[in-house]
Amino acid sequence: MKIGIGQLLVEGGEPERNIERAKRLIERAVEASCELILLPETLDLAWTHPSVFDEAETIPGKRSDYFCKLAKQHAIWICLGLTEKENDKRYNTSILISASGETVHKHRKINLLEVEFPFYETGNQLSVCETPFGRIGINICADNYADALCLGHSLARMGAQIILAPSSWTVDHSITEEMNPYKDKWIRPLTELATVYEIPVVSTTSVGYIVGGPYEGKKMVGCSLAISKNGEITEGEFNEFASDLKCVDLELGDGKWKGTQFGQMINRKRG
Amino acid sequence: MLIVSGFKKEIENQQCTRCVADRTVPGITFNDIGECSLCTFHDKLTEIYPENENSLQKLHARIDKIKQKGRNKKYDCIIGLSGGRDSTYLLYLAVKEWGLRPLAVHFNDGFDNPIAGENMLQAVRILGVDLRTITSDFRECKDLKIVDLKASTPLLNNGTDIGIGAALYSVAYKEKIKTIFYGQSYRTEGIRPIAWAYFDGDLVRSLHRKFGTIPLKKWQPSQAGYNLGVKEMAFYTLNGIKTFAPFYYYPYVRKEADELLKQELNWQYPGAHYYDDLYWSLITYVHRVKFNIDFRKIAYSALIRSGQMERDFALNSLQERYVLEDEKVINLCIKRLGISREEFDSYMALPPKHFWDYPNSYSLLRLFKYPIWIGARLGFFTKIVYEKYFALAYK
Repeated sequence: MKIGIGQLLVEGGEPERNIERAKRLIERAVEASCELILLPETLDLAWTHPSVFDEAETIPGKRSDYFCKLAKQHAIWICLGLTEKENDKRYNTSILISASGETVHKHRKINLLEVEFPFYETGNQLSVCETPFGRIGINICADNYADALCLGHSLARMGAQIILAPSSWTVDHSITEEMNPYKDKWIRPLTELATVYEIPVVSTTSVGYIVGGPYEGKKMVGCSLAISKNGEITEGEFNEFASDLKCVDLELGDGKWKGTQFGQMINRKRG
Repeated sequence: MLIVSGFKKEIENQQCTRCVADRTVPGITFNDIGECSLCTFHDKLTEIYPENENSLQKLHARIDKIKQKGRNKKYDCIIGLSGGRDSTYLLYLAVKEWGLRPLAVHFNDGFDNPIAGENMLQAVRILGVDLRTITSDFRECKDLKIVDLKASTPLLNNGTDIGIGAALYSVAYKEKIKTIFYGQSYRTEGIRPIAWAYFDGDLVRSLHRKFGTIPLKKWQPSQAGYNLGVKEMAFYTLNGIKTFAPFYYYPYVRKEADELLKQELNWQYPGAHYYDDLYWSLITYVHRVKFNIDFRKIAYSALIRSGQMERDFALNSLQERYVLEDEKVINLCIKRLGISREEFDSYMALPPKHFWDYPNSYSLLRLFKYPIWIGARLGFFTKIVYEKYFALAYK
């Protein structure tokens, strides 16, 4: 499966500009013959930007419909994060859109950071989705924190043959290119999931400067990750001011284990 | 009656017969044949930096020296990169024509034009150059921009200008690199009088003390933040760090640069000069409405003098509002500052001021006029610095 890792430049509170840039990344992924493009978390308004309160949209709604139209037009699968409004509540939500333009899966972020509490409600479901590629599991950013990895474990035990995670990984503004921005914060948990269950795990982060909200003064610098089922790592580039696409070919997990077989398999691996 | 830098003056306007500068430029005077003092200044600079073989030889001699000093080191020099035409072209020349190994340094204040961002990424990738991005703390950046609006002088990007300089010097210090290249060219950009372009970190500090709301991070030699006053400049200069503007010695033709960059680096024109920084959209608006300032008069005049623009074309262009002034982007800037349109309009309504209405280091610099002259001759900074600060009238 050829996946485009779309490290999108996301500007806080500028949905039109962000979505226009996402469209261009999708077109690039199509040109590169990707079957699916994975875009970042809350790519419309940016993560925890104050505009969340006034400018969130429903799903389905005009923003998700637009991406459905693009998916159909280009016959490409799209997984992306949007800010969802439902009645008076808002969610940090990711959707999976099929190449025929249908929203086939939706996940609301569960492991919210404390600073997110005023912005988003907690998601209360976790599931996988059958696709022509295999079963896809979706979670979001901190859902893959080392201390919340039960969520990724659950997706794998539901039979996910790949996990996709739109993200907005943040670092302090003082971090520069010659440094390792996250150390093992993301590599360790994502690699654990990938190698224990023998499934690829892909997480795409946004890039850009946080201009508003509780994390103002921090930034997103890319270095997205794709971990193959054998634990091989493909990394996006460090950059904080331009959208970028990296393509990766990944073999999905073969879905050979079910139920208690997972426990037996893990025990065997641990010897 | 004419408005000069926001102040009403009992004078008639007059336009130069050679370029398009007029009496809205502070300090401008005209000779008997109607040519302006900026043209005279340009001619003086052309005597200092003539466009001939000798200048190119000087340039190559300097580059050879820089290469020699860079031997056994990872980098020869630092090049400030914004993704605009001048800095990208300079990076290209440094690598492809002059065989240097630069470290590109970008200062991000949160108002980068995404097109410029793509340009930078392409350029460093294709040229195989390392990039170091120094990102300000956006809370400080925002505070300083609002400080400039409250101070009500035409210097509306004080903090960022100082931040860029501070970033270049602090990376040079950290990486032990002794030369900083920058892409300024008086032939294509012109020289703005200091009333419109005064560079002084001590002024930034004094304005911040008066109008700022959050503390600025303290200076550290390799992490200077927004600190680059006389003291800090002296520190870096005494540590042997020099600045160098190769375009003063090089026959820089904008049109040729555009074509080459598009072809070689997939470079895109951001839409206007200075538009590598979205905040210039707001600045251009404030300049026009509040101060009756149009920087195009300086840049177009420079291009006319160096034979890169027809005067009639410039005169016609000046009749149109500058494309840089884009309502959508102005609103983006206001929103990004975290203020309402009403608050912004209240700053617009403040009476105009000059930078010399606030504490600054200009008198101190004047005291050191001759050491600065010697510093310019020794190559610590370009001779134009001395000329601009002490020879060009600004009032």
